[in-house]
Amino acid sequence: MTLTQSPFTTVTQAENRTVGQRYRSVFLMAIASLIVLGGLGGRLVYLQLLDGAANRKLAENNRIRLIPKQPERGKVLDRKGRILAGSRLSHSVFLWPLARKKGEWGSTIKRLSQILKIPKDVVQLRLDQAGYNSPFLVRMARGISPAQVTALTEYSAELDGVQVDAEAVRYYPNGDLAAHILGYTGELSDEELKRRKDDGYRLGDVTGQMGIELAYENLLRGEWGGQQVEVDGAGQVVRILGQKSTKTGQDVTLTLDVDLQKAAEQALGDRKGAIVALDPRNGAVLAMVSRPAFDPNLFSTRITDAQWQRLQSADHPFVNRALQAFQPASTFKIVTTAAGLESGKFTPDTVLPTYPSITIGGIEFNDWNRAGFGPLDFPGAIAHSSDTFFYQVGMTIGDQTLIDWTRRFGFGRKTGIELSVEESPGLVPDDAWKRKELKEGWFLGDTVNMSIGQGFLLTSPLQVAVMFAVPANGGFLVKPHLLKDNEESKNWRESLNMLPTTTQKLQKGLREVVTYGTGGGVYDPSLPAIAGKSGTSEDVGGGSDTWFGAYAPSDTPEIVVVSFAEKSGGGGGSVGAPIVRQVLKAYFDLKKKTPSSPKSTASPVP
Amino acid sequence: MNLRHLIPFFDTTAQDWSVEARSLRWLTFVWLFIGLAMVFSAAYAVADAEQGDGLYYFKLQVVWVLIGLVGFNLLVHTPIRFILGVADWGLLIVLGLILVTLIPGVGILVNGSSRWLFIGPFPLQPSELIKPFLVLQSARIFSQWDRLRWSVRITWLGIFLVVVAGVLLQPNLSTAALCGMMLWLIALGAGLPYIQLGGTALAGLLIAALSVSFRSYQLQRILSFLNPWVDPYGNGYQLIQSILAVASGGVWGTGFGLSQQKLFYLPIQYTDFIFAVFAEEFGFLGCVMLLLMLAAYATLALRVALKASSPVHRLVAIGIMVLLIGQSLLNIGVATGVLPTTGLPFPLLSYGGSSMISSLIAAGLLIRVAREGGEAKVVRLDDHRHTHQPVSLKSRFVKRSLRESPRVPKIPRRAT
Repeated sequence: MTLTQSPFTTVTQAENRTVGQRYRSVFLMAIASLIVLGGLGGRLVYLQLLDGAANRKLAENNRIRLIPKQPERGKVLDRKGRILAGSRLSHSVFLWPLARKKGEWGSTIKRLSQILKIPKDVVQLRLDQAGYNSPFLVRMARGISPAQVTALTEYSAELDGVQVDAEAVRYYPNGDLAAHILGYTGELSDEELKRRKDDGYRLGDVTGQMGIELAYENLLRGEWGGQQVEVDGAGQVVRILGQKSTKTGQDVTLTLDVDLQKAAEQALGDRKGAIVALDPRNGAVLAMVSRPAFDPNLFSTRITDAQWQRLQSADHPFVNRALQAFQPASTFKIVTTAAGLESGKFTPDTVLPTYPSITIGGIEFNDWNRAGFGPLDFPGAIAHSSDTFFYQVGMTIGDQTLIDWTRRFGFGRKTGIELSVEESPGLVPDDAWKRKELKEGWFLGDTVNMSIGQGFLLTSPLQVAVMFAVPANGGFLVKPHLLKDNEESKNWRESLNMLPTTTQKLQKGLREVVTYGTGGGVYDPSLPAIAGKSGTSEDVGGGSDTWFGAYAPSDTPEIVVVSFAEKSGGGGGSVGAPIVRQVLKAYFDLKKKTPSSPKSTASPVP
Repeated sequence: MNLRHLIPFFDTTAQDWSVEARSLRWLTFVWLFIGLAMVFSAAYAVADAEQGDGLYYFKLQVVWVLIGLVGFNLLVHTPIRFILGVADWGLLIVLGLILVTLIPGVGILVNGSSRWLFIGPFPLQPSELIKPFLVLQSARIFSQWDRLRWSVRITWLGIFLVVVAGVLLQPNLSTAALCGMMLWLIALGAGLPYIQLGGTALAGLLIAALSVSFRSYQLQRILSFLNPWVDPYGNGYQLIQSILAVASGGVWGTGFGLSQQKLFYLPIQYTDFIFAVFAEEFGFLGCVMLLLMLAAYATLALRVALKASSPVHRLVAIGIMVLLIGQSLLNIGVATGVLPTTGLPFPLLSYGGSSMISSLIAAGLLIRVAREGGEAKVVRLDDHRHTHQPVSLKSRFVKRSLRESPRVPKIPRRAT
């Protein structure tokens, strides 16, 4: 009141003394002050009365923190419940950015990098990424040694804001066993973090990077829990508001059998290559080996440069060769036989002459023994692996039928196994592909090459195992898989709708490979009857790739084993067959040791 | 001189003062009391964490208040004419100190700005201390503008410019802006020609714009208040925390001492953002009371200006009104996010010795002006004796102009 009244009253009083204009300035200032005061009052009305609740809630958030607690990662078990991948407690080092001001980290970083043997700028970078106001712990190292723990405790006075905590790290008790299937875990990289932030991942989270660890990340990772606490601005806990318990990751049971896997790894030895063993009835993968391998435990803690160098010196140790594509060679004659018999252009009893070589379009195509085998029926041709027999079949049915049946056997696409990230679809060449990639059309020679699994055709050992499962299970294409959980509830196979006679001829031929043909090397008197097929690819330098695929027992097959040796030299019968024999022997020996399968014990005895 | 004048609060002469002078005195004490209570509340947790003594800043502040109150009481009992007589030297000495802070290595860098000087163990902020001197000297110059020769005008304008520039170079943009605004408003109150005033305002804005554009961090800071959420952990952090504190107060506030934001969320909560703590603890009602107190103080200051017996008194009153109330409003504007975030303390509320002493000196000057503003009882015999002591004006280049200025009429206007 007085503010507005006073200027007027006094101005008149003092008019005769001083110029009125001077009092006008005081009046203006009073008005200005009033406006500013009113404006600030309005702002306070808005902030405290109108917008108060929303801002109060934000301030509340300021004080409520979730102290995250890492869930234990689910275990990976083999089909008998043995641990393939578990966790063990180990010490991890964390930095707590909020604990110190930005400029104060220098000496800590120096000391820390000295003890942990991590470059200083790596520590600095981590800290920068997390942000200096972050209330969350930033992991610097996992699985540090007891000596390092002692050193950190010793220097704790210099290591403000550094915490050593027990933390579960991934542990693979069998070392490099089944490394390619299990994969490994590691901390999220920056790019991955950006991509997967929406799934609730945080900086420093450990996730599956390959194999089952990657494929079943969703099941294995579990759910973060933690305490909801009220903290003051320094991050000190004032009180605990609530608890959210962590949810341990789900265990994953695989179809693998550790014993068989061990035997298979031993059978392959130090050869570069792969072994796939699966159950032809449903496609359950019993063993899968790839060499060279690596120890996934290395990645559970921080990998050192020396370890990394050693890994890199091997020839692509991270590549799962069971899922990479190579020339299938003569094992492919199974497909050619099926295509020939199903095409209607041959009867099950067709007999064709074989030759030392056949000249097609001016090019001479040899039989592998350069002599021929005389007249053969389909099983005989399989047994001797006669190339000229299958050239004729291929030429008669034509490229379309052959390519069509190749695709029906599952080639040229991923098998559907869980490791699809690492799986190659292989290649089934056709006219369109050739024109696109090689700028030339399909020649008859391409059909001839393809009929014996040569040329551009590329198949993975797993695909070849699926192919062997077709005659073994009576004409079904199976979907190979590694997850045993709920296995029974799903349909893993699909009929190829082949004539019963086709399957029979294939079975007969594959059995004869072992009894008198190229696969005698797989024979073992202590084992049930085995049926199989060898394959040896063209030597394009460095030695030929050798294949051997087999199933047993030949009348009621329960296992398919395919071995593949990259650039091993020699032949499928001499290199591959003994490997397969060792795996089969291990399988049937194990079976003898546990005579009753879990299924039969489960049935109640009256 | 009466020794009792050195003792704050106990001044028996007060009952004889004019209504304005007494009201201003009591309002100053109320303001001071709120300030001490707020420093106690806002600084306790920080002091406990940093110094190991929750009362560390509070105790220091009490010391500053006592020192300031001695100055306050001395000024209340010293005739304005005498004070004006030493204003120019005071201004030049403090200006010297400001220039010293600009010497690299001498000024203490705090948050990228060298505002501090250490006189022994005492931290000093010359840019705060210069404010009352600037008010006095500018009031003195502008009040007799018409009678001054151009050489004198230019000299003093130059010195004022050096003051503002020196503060600006520390860099302390907000204090420089406040000083500039204060000078301009005093000039306005003096009735200087509008063209000159307009030109100066334009030039000032231009300089401010230039200064900001040379320092990108200032521009970013200045613009961050428009939307602090763009950079919530960087430039916007202080403001967001301040707004959250103010808003958390609601209608009634959380209660004295119960601010949550002061617990390390809100930075510099006991100095520049002390209003946010006040708003959180006392809510909307408390804020309205505080604004009403400021309005009352402003009203009284302007009444003093209107009643002032001479132009120079009026201009001192206006200047101090701008200094105390204007700076308070600016500080509230910063804390509530309607003005760019700058480092301006809340007079008599924020912790800080220089600011406290400067503000109490200003308040004392205002009360002295109020006492001389036309009540018969103001002019006591002992005071009268002081005024008759020769003010040594020798060797000062404003000597002539001062002599030319008319004597302040001591005849009470409303004496009955």
